[in-house]
Amino acid sequence: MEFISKLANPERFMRVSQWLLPIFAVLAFICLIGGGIWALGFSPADFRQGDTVKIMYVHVPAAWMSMATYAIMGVASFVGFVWRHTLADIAARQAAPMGFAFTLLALMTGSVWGQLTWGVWWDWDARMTSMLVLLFIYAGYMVIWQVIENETQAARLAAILCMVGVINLPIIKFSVDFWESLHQEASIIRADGPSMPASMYLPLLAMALGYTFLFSTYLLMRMRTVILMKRRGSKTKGRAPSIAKTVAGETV
Amino acid sequence: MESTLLGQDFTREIAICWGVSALILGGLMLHAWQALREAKQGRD
Repeated sequence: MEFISKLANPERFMRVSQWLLPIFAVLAFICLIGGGIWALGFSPADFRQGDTVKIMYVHVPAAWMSMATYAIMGVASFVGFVWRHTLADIAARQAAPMGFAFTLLALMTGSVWGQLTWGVWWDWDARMTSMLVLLFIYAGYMVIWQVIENETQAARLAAILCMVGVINLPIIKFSVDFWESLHQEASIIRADGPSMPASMYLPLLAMALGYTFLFSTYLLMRMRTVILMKRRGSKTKGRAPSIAKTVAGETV
Repeated sequence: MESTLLGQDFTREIAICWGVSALILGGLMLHAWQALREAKQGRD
C-alpha cells in the first residue's frame, strides 16, 4: 500500500517521468526503425505465404499491445477504484485511446492478411470476435469518460467496466486452443519455445519492443499533459478538482 | 496442397498495413506531443 502511495505521488511521477520520457522515446525510435528495416528488408519470406508474412510484424505487436494495454488499464482501474488514487484513474483513461488504436490496427491488418491467406476478410471465429469485443469495450470505456459529467462517477463507472472487461483477455489468448479457429495456435509464447526461426521472431520481438516503448512514451506524455493542465488550472474536462488539489499539495 | 499465394506480389497490401499503422500511431504520438508542449506553455 505504501509502495502504491509512493508511486501515485504526482510530484514523484513528474520527476521520474521527466527523465524516463526521452529514454522511452529514443528506445521506441531505435526498435521501430531497426525492427522495421530488419523485418521488411532482411527477414525471410514464408514458404507458403510468401512476403505476406511481413504483415505479421505490424499485426502481432498491435494485437499483443491491445491486450497488454488493457491489462495495464485493468490494474490501474483496480487501484483507482479501491484506493482512489487519482493518478491511476488518469493512467487508465489516457491509455485507452492507444489501446483502441492497437486493437483497431490488429483487426485491420489481420483482415488484410486474412484475405490474402484464407481468402476472407472476416470470419466470426473466437479470436476475431473476442478482439472485436475488446474494441467495443475500449470504445465504451472512452464514451463513459466523455458523456458522464461527474468526474468521480465517470471514474467509478469506467473502472467497473474496465475490470469486468478483463475477463475478455484470457478468452482472446486461449480462444485458439478452446475453439476451432482459422488462427494458428501460439507461435512465440509456447512451453517448447517459438515455432518460427530466429530470423523471423527476432525482428518480431524488436517490433513488439518498439510498440511497447511507443506506448510507454505516449502514456507518460498524456499523463504529464493532464497533470500540467490541472496544475495550471485548465478548465478542460479531466480529473480536475482532485488532481489540482493533490498536485498543489505536493507542490509539483 | 500448394499455396495459391506463391509467386504473387503483395507489396501493396504490405504497404497498406505498415502505412496505416505508422499513420495512426504516428498521429497519436504527434497529438500527444503537441498537447504536452501546449500544456508546458500554459495554453489550453
